[in-house]
Amino acid sequence: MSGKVKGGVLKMNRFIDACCEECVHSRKTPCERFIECRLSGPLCHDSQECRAAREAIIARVSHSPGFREQ
Amino acid sequence: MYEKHILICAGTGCISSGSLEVKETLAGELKKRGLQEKVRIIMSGCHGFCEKGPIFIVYPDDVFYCGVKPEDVPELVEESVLKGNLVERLLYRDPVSQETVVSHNQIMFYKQQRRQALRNCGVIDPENIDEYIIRGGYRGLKRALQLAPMEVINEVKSSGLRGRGGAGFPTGMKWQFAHSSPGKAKYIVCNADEGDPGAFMDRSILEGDPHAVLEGMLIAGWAIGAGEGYIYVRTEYPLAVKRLRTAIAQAEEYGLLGENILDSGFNFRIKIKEGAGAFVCGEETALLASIEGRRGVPRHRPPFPAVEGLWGKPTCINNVETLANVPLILRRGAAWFSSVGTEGSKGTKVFALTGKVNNTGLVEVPMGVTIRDIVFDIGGGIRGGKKFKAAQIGGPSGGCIPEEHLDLPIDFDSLTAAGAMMGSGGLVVVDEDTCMVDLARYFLNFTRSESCGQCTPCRLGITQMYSILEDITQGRGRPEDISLLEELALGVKKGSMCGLGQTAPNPVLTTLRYFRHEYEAHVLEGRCPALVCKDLIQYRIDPEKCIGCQRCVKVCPVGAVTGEKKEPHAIDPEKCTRCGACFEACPRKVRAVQCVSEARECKEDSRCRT
Repeated sequence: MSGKVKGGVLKMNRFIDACCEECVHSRKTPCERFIECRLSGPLCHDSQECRAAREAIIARVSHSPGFREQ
Repeated sequence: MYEKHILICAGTGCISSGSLEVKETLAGELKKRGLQEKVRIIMSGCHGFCEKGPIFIVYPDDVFYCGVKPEDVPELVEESVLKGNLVERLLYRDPVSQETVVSHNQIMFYKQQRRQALRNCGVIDPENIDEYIIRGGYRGLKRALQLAPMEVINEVKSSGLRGRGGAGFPTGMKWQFAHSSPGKAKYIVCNADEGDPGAFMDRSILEGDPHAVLEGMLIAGWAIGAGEGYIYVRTEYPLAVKRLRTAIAQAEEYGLLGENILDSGFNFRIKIKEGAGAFVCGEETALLASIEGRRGVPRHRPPFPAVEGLWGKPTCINNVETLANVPLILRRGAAWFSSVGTEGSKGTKVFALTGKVNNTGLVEVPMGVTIRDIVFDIGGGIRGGKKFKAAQIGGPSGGCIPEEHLDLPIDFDSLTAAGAMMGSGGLVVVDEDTCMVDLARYFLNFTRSESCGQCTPCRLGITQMYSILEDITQGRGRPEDISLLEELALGVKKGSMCGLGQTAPNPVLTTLRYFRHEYEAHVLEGRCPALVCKDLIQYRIDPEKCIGCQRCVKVCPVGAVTGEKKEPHAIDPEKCTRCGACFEACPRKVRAVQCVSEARECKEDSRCRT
């Protein structure tokens, strides 16, 4: 895991960062749903903050309406 | 959250035009104005419109600026970024209507393109794996891992994808051969040794979207049962090598390369092997020899690499563009992929459009688009209002397509029927000022120097053909040379061991087929109709037009031009080296210096050509 801790929730800067302590994906413990989870998750737990963290990563780099996969 | 995103093309073409300096200036300007947190700079891959670089696009406004220099940056930041105004002088201007175009999607160069293999080039930061994932990356791999290997192979077969490296072999069929070959150790090799002069299709994908290639290799590895892959990339592509190394490191960090990928039990690693500058190492068996540390020379086949390849193990070798298409096929389905293209050639093809067109660059079009569409709509027609003469397709292995075939649909089979071949995608447009004999000589000189020398037809046959072409272009051609050239070309084609020798005669054969009259003019009349071959042209001054300005006298490097002020000048043909300096110096409105090529009696020549 990486990223700063903010109020007990990890701060996601990149998709490889865990959103919180629920996330177990790493190269040694891969999660089958890693890709879908980062795009539309979290999938293994329900968290508005974790969802927002993913959206923030996506929003930060989406420079145009058609940027995200159609 | 960023308010604006500025994409600057960091493909090799725009870098050589100064895009890195533009970026540095922009970074400094944003820092000066305290805008670093509000405006993001993205150094993207090749946008394709290399003629107009450096490319600078402001999003989300979607304003396309071209030919941007560092000194333009302050105005762009002030007006376009901060105020939302257009900087008109840096917008693209349509050469016909003279109207400015704001969005690149409205530019004729892009309108007819369908960027699939190039889907992320010029759109993402190629060094940010998250951007690749956001745009659908690794979803093809995800789907593939949920299917059995043969299901993946059948999907690729159904798509109709054919190899984009030149031969056009059905990709799914190649994978099936490798899958069916016995053995636990198998390999996937990406052929990124793009050797055709002037071709940069693969380079642009490697620089602009390296993860697409990695994902394609992963899917191929799953399909055939390989646990290891190699990317054989030419060492002359340092930026591509850098981006690949970064992408591999990121994919490993994300668990998308390595062991138990996405908890599937599938292990796959990718290594990079840099080439050493030999064109012949683009031939698959020579490539494998090079990876193994041996001299890069081809070997006889069978056995084919799919049965016995790298270190004797089943190996599947695919081109960069081929692999970049694979994730799309798995993600969106074979039916989607095959809905574009012709009956025998599905999907799209990337071309490096160069030569005498107004818009040179990288283009991707659906198979079946005509040469006319590419040259005149996308390419913007012939530079300087000259007349189209031919399109050389497929680089030194390809052939020339003349004006009468402008409406030929571009696909594997129709080009082969016309005597040319798709090749890897080099498309050089030539005009009325190009000598087709000299063009054939140029390409043959390349293959001659790149021949590994292993087989006699290639080693000696190409050398003899080149010698004949040199004689023809230097005024020593004999009438029997044309039929001898043809005979040699067919012999080299049939007798050579590998694709280099087998295709090297193509430029000669197609120019003989479509431009025989030029060969005959050289040989029978001692004349170069295009006024290119120095030994067959003369410069002379028309005394009635000459105004005696002495410009030509001053520039002549050998003192061949004489004449007093305000008196007609003259050129001494014995001293003249036909450099053309006097022709360039003569004022355009005067045009007293003329370049001519006059028919003369061709003499028999008894010299021995060895």
